Amino acid sequence: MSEPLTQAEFEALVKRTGLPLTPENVADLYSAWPYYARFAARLRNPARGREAEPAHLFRPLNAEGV
Amino acid sequence: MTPFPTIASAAAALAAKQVSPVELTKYLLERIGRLDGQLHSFLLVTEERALADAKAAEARFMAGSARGVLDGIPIAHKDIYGTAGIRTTGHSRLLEHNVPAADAMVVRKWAEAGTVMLGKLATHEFAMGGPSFDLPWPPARNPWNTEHFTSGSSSGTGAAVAAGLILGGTGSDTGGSIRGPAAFCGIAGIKPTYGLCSRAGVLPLTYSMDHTGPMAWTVEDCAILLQAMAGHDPADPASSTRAVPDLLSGLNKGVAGVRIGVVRHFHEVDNQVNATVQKGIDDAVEIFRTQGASIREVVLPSLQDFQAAGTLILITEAYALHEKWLKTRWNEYGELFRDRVAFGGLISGADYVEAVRRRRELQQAVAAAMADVDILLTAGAPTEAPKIEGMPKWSSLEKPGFTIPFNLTGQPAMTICSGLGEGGLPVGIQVAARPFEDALLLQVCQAHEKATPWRASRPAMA
Repeated sequence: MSEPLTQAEFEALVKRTGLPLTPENVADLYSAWPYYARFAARLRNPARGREAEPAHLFRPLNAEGV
Repeated sequence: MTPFPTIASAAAALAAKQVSPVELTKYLLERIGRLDGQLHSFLLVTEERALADAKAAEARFMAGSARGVLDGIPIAHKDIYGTAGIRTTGHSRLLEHNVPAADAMVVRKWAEAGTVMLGKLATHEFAMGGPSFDLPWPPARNPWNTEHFTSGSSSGTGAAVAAGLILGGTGSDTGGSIRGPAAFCGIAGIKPTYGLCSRAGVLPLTYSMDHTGPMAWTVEDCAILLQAMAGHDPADPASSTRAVPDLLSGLNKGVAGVRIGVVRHFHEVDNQVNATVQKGIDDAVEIFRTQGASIREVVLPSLQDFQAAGTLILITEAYALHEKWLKTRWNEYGELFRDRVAFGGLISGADYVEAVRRRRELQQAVAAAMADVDILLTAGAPTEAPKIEGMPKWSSLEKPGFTIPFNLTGQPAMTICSGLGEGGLPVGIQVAARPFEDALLLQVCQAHEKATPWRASRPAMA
């Protein structure tokens, strides 16, 4: 998502979601898309090594679910 | 204003039998009836329930079996907190007739402490965004000037506390929804450590960033309310198993010896605040220094880094929660919620994972920066509350907020009043502590509150 999208590419992306958007909705969302594209690009800069794990903690549970 | 404007003072009056729970409840119900037509802070006033609660509390006082400091204290809940047999809407048309079978854990805990439930409070749709004017109920308005915004999403709680319609209430905070209204409405609001308070039975927005917490007129009242809502709950997967400390233990101890780090670049560079907010921060630094705290500057990653990770995590998790209804009931949502959350369907899986990886880096960076400070200080909001009409739809994306960093790190953070600015509207500072050092956070905030005159000023309408 970090690359800029043309409106046609954006419309294709929206269509894939299955959301029942009108053309006006799509145009409105497209106007705000650059914010999100910038956020996504920022997350990748600087690039991180493969050892950098996500923050979500996975904690195996024992048989009692603890 | 009620002659007992705080929970602490009302509790003392109740204990001394200077006032009864029924008298106090009727007094506030009368105020709600008289003032809330201008504020829209309540979605539902539960008068019958309130009077029943108050009579039960009164009977306990008469029998000498009062349950403690919250017995007989009138409160209300943000309308994302499930209340058994009482409508819980999330301020949304989609849940307009939703009546839960059970109380949220926090609702139950406050009820068991003897509180009197006055009703359900306005939020923004499903605790996100706002203000919206296309929902079944109007947005809450700021009691300092009803042409102005409350911030959100705990908008009804902020307005009702500031106007003296309730003595305290619940809020929730995913990106700043307790601390934002606390700043704009001039009250105290704490987002506790992630996991300290149960979220079970509360409508979720973003699982990994949602927090429940209290809002009240004073820091002490927040401490009292937080003590009664904290604790492990197996029904909340994020709930901490740590024993809850005495959260009032630091009150009235001042800040001598506390090491405070000022995150100047947050409010001077990343999102420059106005002169009133800056003065509030500068005054707070001097107050803390005078009381014996050590002050130094702390550098964290930029607010823009927190905004990028936080926004993508927030909308992606919210989209996952709402995807089915967004596809089938799109037109029943308000425009603001549905359009913001729709972007969550456009975020790739890799984007989300990158956001969560960045989240760990941000968390580690803040922890490292706090190796030799106990407390962080910055702004609660960049300005006074703007006018509620005509706010740009995407304005929240333009500049990074001051509150979302601590939703990502999970550490406790609190906003308190630090002055009155243009048009008499309040401004606030934000103070944060290390995870599970909520008691120290309350101690520091109360030290500021006691050294400033702002608790003596209420909105004129109150």
